[in-house]
Amino acid sequence: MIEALKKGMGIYVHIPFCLQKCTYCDFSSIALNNSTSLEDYCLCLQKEIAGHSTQHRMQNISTVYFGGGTPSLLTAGQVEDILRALRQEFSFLDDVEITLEANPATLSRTKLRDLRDAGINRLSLGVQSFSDSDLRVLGRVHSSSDALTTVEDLHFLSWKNFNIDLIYGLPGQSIDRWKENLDMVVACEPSHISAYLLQLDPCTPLARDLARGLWEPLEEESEEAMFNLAREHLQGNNYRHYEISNYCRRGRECRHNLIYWSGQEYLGLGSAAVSFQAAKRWINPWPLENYCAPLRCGRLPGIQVLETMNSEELQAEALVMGLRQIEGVDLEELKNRLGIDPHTHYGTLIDDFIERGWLKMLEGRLCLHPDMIFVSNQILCHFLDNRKS
Amino acid sequence: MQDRIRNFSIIAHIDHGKSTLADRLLEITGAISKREMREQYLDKMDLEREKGITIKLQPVRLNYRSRDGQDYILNLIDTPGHVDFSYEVSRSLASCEGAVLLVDASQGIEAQTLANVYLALDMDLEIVGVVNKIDLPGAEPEVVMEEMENVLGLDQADILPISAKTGAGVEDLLEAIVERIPAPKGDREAPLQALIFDSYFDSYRGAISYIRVMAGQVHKGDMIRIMSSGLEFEVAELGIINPNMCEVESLSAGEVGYLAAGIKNVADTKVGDTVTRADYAAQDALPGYQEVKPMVYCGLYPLENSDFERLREALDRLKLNDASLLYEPESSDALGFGFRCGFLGLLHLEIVKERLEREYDLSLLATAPSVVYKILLTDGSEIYLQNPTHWPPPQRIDDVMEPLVKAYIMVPQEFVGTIMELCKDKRGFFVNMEYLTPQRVALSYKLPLAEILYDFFDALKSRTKGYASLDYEFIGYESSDLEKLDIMLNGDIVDALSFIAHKDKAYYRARSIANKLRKIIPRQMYEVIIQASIGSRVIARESIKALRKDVLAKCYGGDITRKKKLLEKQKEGKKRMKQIGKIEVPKDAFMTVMSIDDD
Repeated sequence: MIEALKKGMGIYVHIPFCLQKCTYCDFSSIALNNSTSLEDYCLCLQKEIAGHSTQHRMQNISTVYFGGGTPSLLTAGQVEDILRALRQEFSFLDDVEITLEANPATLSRTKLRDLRDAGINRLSLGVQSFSDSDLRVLGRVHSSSDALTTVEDLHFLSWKNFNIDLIYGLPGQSIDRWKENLDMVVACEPSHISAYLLQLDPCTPLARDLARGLWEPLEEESEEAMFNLAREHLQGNNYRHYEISNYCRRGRECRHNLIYWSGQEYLGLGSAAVSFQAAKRWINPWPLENYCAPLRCGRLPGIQVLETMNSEELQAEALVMGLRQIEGVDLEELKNRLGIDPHTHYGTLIDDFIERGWLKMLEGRLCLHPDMIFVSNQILCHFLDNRKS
Repeated sequence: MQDRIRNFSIIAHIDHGKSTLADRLLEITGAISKREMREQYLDKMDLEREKGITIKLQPVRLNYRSRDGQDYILNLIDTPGHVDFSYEVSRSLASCEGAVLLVDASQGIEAQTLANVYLALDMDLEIVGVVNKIDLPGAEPEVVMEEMENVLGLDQADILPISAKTGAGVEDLLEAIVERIPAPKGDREAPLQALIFDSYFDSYRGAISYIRVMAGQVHKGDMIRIMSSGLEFEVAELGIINPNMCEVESLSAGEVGYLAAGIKNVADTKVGDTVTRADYAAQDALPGYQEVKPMVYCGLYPLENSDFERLREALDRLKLNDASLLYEPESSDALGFGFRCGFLGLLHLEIVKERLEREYDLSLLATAPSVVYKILLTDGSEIYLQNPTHWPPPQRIDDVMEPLVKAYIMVPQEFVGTIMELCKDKRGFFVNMEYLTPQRVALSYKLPLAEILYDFFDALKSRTKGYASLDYEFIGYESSDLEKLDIMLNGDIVDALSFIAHKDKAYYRARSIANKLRKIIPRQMYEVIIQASIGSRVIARESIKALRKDVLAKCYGGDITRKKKLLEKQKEGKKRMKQIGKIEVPKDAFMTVMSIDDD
């Protein structure tokens, strides 16, 4: 218990505004048309933070993550206000990781410096690609030179801890162009790289264009080749592959995301933000007005419970999320945490998959065979029980 | 009282309006109120209502006051129309003295109209001819009446024009039923003889049997004897169906009702059996029914091996309600333990499988359906082969015979050419052609049953804009050039996919099936090679590339719940798969690969 307290909780702050919606985006966000709505939203956030105080007062916080949307639309002053509100209600650990997702088009050297002064110590840059034709397909508002400028600014400020997001498997993307992206990202020397396979929700504009035949989708063999190339290339340049889509320098894992993958608790603040505490997962209201309206009247908005889990369900989730991490799941730790032995329910399955060479045990940790990472759903789905239905 | 009873069925070609007429009769006689009314009232099964067809016969008692002021009891036994279920029709007819023959005023006489009329005439039933759907724009009642006179020998003057939908003419029909259909005979004082014409299993009351009392009386509390087995039971409940179950104290000669006697073992109350009283027993049993011979067999296997016993129990119970279903245990290398089941046709197979799955909560896999082949062996013995897996080695085979049917096809004359072409393509042998009217032709062909099993009816319909109708009967076996085809997945024969094909078609079928399997089997962790072979000779090959991508690129705090649901759905999908060796095969693959569409 003391260990858990020391570990601390994560806080996610959702900023649901963007300059414009990207063609592949299915997140809860809207295009921002005036600065008053952002200002109004920040006030609501602060009210929500204050409203949570009785429940969570003095909880240890190990990470804060501003996600979106485009949180870098916030002014440094607004970020500072939100962090101040948080510090009033929660107890931040000394080495707290505070990440802000940022779009290169919204940044300048001055703004970066101000954000750092406001308390941000980790930046996640939505670069997506260093090719302008890729960026047009994705409907991004920035160019590749914007991204390079931001990276230059970060190095000028000696800002070491930052991530670069890349997307591969774009319609029309060749393996050579992906290789160029990988070369570029390595040259940028981020501490962390997320390389995501493009996976479209059918309702996004890009998915509709694909369905209408405006783009030729890639063969899964090409997508797999891109994944393998990223893995080889980034590992060869001293980036550790630690989750299906994530790579980092030694010790530079995104600690906030580790909270998600290791079943620790997190509190989501803002419209559409999701929280997970005491085996229960819930979501704040969306659309935006359903969140803001009650807060303006001084009430906390109603939440929607997504699921409440028993130990078996927590165990299943721990395995599914834990196996996303390349080093896998510590079965002994899992047994101690949830009080049930994973072998009781999954023993046969695990043995069978190890026999087939899909899973392996390394120093007490159950993990995916590297060749299985890109087809991991075939394995992970077996750990989910459908007994509820 | 007996002379005020009329027992009758409605017979018709499928879709000519039987269930609608039954609805109207229920409504007009006040058996159900307008408020309770819903379409296809007597079709109790969800499956019947979804498919818009009647599968089970269904008795109901109507009270009718005729125009001369007399009260009558009318027992209506609603029947199915599809050719697969003609057995149900014949059972209904055996409990009746008359039949209302319904013909669609725009379609005219169809193949099953004829088949059903012949059944009714065989049983000496009084036939009341009716032309239905006279309210429809395309209706030509006069033409159809003339056709009925010419083809069926009914007097035009006796045929009633009605619309079951609007109710027009239905009162006149009720009068005709009372006037023309004879009252049941049978001595009330004679020993009890009651015919079981249907049964089903009720978890609380045991077997419920629908009976027609032919002679004598039965009372609640009587000891009865099932004449075929000699087993005796005490009558716990007697009743009529009006259309709800309504208890009565006794039933006597001429009446139709139900009987429950705490019969737990479903085998003890067979459809077609005669019930008599233990203390005042009849000498002879009623003629009963001919045992039906299934036309088509397939294996039914539980997807979960542990459900085998549940499947056996479900079959036992369904059998009570569906006497035409035959089954015996078998095993397959690929599928484990299951049952080889015999059906009257593919629709029957489909219905049984769906009923087992729905009513008994089972998940089943059906293997490729097959007809029964007769094989003469070199040692002089003969076998009837229901399962292609058991095809003997070629050196032991002297001759192979396949079942033939005589098919009656009715079509407008402009389609005769295309139908003859189709029949030739299906290895058919022309028998006869007859003009029913200058526009309508009845063709008869001798055809291998295996050729018409799968898609023949669909092909008929699509080549004739839906105007053709089909009926067929088994006529015997004939020698044929047949071979066994095996399907291999990654080199292993999947016994459940083996099938028999004519030599001229084997190559084409093999390629078509390999191609279908390639489309139907999802990409797996390994490459899957599909091969079709005759003996050791491979005649078709396809491959399914290994799965290269199946991954969730992103999974963070906000969408863990949603992503888990995606994975759950994926696992759900795997439940519809059968693991054969290391390969997951969709359970519907076995049926669908056999359909012979021309793609």
